[in-house]
Amino acid sequence: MTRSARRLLLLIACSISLATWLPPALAKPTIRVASKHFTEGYILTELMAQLLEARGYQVQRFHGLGGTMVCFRALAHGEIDLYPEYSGTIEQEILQSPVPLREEELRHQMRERFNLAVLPSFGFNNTYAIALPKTRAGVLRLSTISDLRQHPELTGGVSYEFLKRQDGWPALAKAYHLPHQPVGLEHGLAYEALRAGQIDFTDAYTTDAKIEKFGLVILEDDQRFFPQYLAVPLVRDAVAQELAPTLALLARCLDEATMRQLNARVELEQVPFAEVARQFLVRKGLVADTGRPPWAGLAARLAHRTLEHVGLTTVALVAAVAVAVPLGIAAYRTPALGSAIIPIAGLLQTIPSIAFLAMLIPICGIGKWPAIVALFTYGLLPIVRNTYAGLNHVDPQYRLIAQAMGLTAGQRLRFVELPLSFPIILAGVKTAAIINIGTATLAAFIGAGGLGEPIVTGLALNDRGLILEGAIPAALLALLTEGAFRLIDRSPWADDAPESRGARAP
Amino acid sequence: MEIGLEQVSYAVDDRPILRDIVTAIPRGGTVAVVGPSGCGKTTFLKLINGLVIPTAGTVRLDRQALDYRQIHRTRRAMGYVMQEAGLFPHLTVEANVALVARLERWAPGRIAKRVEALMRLVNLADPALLARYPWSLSGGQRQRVAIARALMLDPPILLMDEPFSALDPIVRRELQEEFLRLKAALHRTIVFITHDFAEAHRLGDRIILLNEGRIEQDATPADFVSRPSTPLAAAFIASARGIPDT
Repeated sequence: MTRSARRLLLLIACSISLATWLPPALAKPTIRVASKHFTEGYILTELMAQLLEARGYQVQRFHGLGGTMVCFRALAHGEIDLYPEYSGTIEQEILQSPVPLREEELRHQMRERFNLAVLPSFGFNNTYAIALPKTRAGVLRLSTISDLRQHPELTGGVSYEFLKRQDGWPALAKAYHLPHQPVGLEHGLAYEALRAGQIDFTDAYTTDAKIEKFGLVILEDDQRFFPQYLAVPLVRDAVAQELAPTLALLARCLDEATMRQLNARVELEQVPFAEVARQFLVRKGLVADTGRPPWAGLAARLAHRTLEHVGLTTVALVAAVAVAVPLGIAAYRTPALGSAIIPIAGLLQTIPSIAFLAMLIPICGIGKWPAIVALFTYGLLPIVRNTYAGLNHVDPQYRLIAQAMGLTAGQRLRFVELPLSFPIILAGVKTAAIINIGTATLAAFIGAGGLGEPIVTGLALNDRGLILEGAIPAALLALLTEGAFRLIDRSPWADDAPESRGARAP
Repeated sequence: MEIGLEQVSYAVDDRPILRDIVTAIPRGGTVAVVGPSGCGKTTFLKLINGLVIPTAGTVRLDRQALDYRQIHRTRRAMGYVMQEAGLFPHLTVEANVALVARLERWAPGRIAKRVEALMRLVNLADPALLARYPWSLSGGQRQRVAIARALMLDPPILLMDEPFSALDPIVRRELQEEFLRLKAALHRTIVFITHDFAEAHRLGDRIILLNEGRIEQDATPADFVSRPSTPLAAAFIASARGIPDT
């Protein structure tokens, strides 16, 4: 293959990925729905999404967007239109009310302060509970949370959110005078830890599918400490009027037992949450039974996500090259600038990706753009560094002869120095591309889609199959990228004589 | 084009490299600059094309002082050949030779014609060579391509920094012969550097001996050999003795 043919191929590949990535139909108004990252959130959001779709709306899903504050801020900033929330959480976390609020007060305050509508509840109360193995509870004669006080030797393991939030463990421990110092752990892992005997009790939700599976009992909240956590759709006022009649169809259609069953279908029977939601809606007669699930098969799903992933990565990479190569050149030409640029690029690189993505939400919102900004930032360092190093490693004799031949500084750069450092610059671009493919999987946390989507969902649902559905293609994509770069790098002038290259790797 | 150096000195951090150089190289003249390592030979060459700027004195081309702001224009009037050929490894033979003409926006037809003529001139007429990369050429071929490249814009001055030193003796001899032929055919002002007195004697109309940054002797080859002015000059002549043809 000639060099120009390879360049053409590269260009075509870039344009295809760009074209597929751009949002398809901008004309139709789209309802953006989000969920917090646990099973019930996914199911409730999916119920609303499919119901809205059945009524002719376009729906964009941001599943597993984040915890309460991330979802709430996204909603308050108009990044999303709705997500399912719990009344207790609204009262304590969002409104930070010192006193319990009645339903109308809650509704009123949310409207006044945030322009958000609290729609009628789905019908179940998913409050916090403290759970421990039945056998253990029997032996220790534990039946209420107050009983825990008699057993300070028990080890608690609770979710990070519960450990930190105001209405969580600190308040509970105070109300019941509990001496325990529970450890924080991922909620999905708590049950395994209970079974393995590494912890004795954990926090649970009343609708948690695993309570029965793991043979747990819930300790009675004898002091009525936990507030009501009625699941409600939290909707932006701007669209609430329009959506309320449709979403009202879901009001009071789920009780705790039903919700626990739906959760169990997903978590224990490994039925995809979208399918569980669809079956429920069909059973309730809310959507027509089309006979086949509303999502495409695995291949189409994979193709879609991969294209999304490649699109994110490509846009970020192209932008990073466009900025980083000139920066590298500037650093090379002005050494004083170089000694500033390289460390700054290095510093940006050290920001943990999840923290960086979270920081970008207030600035760029959620979805593809903050992800691209983050990927772009991570791509800068390897490219700047390699451009700088590549230019500095050009054999000085070529610089000298180019000068002697009467090439201007710009011509030397274009015709001699950049082509000679091309392999090293390309290696930097390759590194950036591989980093981006990996980091882009995390971008699903802020609703950017791509191959991270099944990984994030799989993590939230503790579903290994789902995790692999994202992880394997992502790994393959990285390998493929590596191979593709090797193909571009086969410069004819260096094919059989690597020692004749004008520049060597640093 | 005539080259004039008037009281030219060059120093790096107060360490003198060249001191009070006064010389004139007439149009069409071929001057060989010889001297021991570190005597300032390469700096002497770089003064002429402005790669180094004198700390004192003036460099003149046809009586005009060098304009260092537009130095790249001046340099295009001077072909430059160096010891290791310095062909760009990422460009084909054709692209190496034609590079400056492309920068001067010559028409493609004119470039092709000129490249072909030059390749014939340096005895590399095989058109298949044009598409090859420098790594696939022999040392002699590379040096010939480098000469063709230096001549592309038909410059009035040719600067050569030890152009034949890295070649084996047979190829070197061959290229020296060709140099003489080119010199006669082209009638350029040529300054070339060598550490080989025999070569200087064979190729130059004049020999300048540099030592510790000063001109120690400046004479025609015949005068140089018959009247060496210093012990160093005599030693240089002696170094070439015993070689036929000197």
